[in-house]
Amino acid sequence: MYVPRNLKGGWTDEARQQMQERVIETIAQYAPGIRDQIVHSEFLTPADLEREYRVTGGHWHHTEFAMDQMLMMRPTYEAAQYSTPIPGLFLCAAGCHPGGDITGAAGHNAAQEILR
Amino acid sequence: MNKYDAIVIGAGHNGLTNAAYLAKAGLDVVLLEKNDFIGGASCTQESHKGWKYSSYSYVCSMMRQAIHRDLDLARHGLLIVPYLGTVNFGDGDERLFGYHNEEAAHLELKRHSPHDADAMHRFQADLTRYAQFIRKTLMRTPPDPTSFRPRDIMELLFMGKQLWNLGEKEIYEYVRFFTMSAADFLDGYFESDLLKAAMASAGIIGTALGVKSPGSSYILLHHVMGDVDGSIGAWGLPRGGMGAISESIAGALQEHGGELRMNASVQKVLVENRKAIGVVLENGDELRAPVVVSNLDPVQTFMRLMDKNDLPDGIYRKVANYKTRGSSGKVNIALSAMPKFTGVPDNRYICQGGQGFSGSLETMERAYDCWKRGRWSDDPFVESVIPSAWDPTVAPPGKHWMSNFVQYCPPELDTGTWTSDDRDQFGQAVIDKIARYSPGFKDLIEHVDVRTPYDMQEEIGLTEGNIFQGELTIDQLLFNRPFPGYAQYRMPVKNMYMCGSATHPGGGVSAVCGANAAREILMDLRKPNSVPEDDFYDE
Repeated sequence: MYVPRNLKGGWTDEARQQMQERVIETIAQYAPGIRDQIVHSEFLTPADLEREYRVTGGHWHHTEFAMDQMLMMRPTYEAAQYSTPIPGLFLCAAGCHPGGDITGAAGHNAAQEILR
Repeated sequence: MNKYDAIVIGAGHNGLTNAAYLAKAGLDVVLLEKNDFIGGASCTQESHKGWKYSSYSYVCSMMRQAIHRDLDLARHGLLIVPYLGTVNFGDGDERLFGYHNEEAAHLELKRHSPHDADAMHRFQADLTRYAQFIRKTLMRTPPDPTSFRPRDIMELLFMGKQLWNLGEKEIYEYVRFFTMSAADFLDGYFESDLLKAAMASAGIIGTALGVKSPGSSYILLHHVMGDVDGSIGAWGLPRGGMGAISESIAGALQEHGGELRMNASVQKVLVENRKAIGVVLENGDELRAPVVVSNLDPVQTFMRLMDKNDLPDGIYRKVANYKTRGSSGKVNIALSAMPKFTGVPDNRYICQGGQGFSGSLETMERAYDCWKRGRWSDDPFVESVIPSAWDPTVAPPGKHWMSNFVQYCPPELDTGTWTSDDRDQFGQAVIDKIARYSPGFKDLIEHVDVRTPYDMQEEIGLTEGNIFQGELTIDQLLFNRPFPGYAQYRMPVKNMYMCGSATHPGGGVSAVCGANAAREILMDLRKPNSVPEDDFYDE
């Protein structure tokens, strides 16, 4: 938890290595033998998520779960309820109500809106 | 002669206001104060010979004009002089000056960012509209949203109508605004970090939230909905210090025949058959009255003054969960001359106004991080003002008094209770910060008076030193202040009332809590109302 998108000094190989090491160290405190069992590891920063999946800011809910961005205000009140100010353009992803976490609900609700 | 019509506990400005309105309605009132001075946090103390410090609260804006006028406080000696200007110090050499003159203010902002200079008009218009909505709810008792009594339904309709009048887009903006952080809210308007830091300061004052914590934008609004002589959002200084507010209300109280008893600490509230019947003082005296009003916060009232057995089940848990985290400190400094600040032109409008040592949003957030760990920051956010620049009564001729409000300051340190060493170091951190922008500052110091949240609890009875008698977070506002079901100034025991800042609309020296409680008490007694209605400027 709490990995910044814009790391001071940038996500250099050294910084990645350091962060990854720290994560393994934390887990190793509770699972002492884990180091020997590692076959492969991958460390994705929010910057990587943004580059690979085009999620702005590397935010995996597309936009924060803050009260001001929920329900009929998600992602913003002008573009809530899956329709946007541009007729024919719809949103169907985690940036819509009810947000991310692989529920399928946003896509389902958007399809319903489109068919209506 | 220890029988009265009403007993009010605590002569803070709300207790004074409450007692004054009860007395004005013809009740025989006694107001009990444990200290040998009145005002609670709105007091003036001569802690150093010749200097009169507003030891705690130091500026005034939220005092309602309707009360000011109705109690004729001007005749009782109250004069509020508006701030001239302000200067905000950035982390480096950057300075941002605030002017009352609109053109000067615009030009100054343009110097930092032409975009922000234009955005400021939009920002102020929006904020004023939001403030207008909340201002209308101030001098009204919050409705109970779960009740079907006609009065509650009417009040809910009134609030609904005000909200509806804002229009659809505004309603959305308003709901968003209520829950956002001050930093997010300001990011929507401005790009200059110093400007954002300067504006965000109002969002964290007295609150255990950071500029990036949700809910801090409401606190920002709470601090701009006041006015000085009808100039909305303006702040001013009472001549003679904050004690002048309390003294003037005490004048009104006495004029209406109320009695003020000093050094009268209440030990216990007497309850018989779930009805309050009076109080016992620490010296053993017993006072009786069919109405008992507490101006103390809920923790002091329920846990200290009342017996657990006299209270209904569940109240204790509500009190224990009530958030009173203290977060502010105060450093009062006596100076032998007016300090000079680097990068500030010799212009009396800005030199004689307030100084904000805000730095940047990041500096402020980092100061909050220190507070969470039970420390103060070595780079604290300090809001200062030198009242003696335009009030000759608070310092000897030619000398000055500087009031420094510090955010954040923990009620208890990670090392335990505050010691006098800790206090000195905390004061030094503040002095060092100021001296960074005023090289000769340390040579001017004649006396330093440090007040931590711990002192606020010990001297003026604010639990954990919370300056609002409980945080102004959305879960503790309106019909939830202080707890759901008890937001209409009546306590769970009959004949007993609350009138402090822990009730709607909260702290800030507005005198509204005391006035609203008086209106409810008079209603229960079936007496004519002596409390005025608020002024609405936009209608």
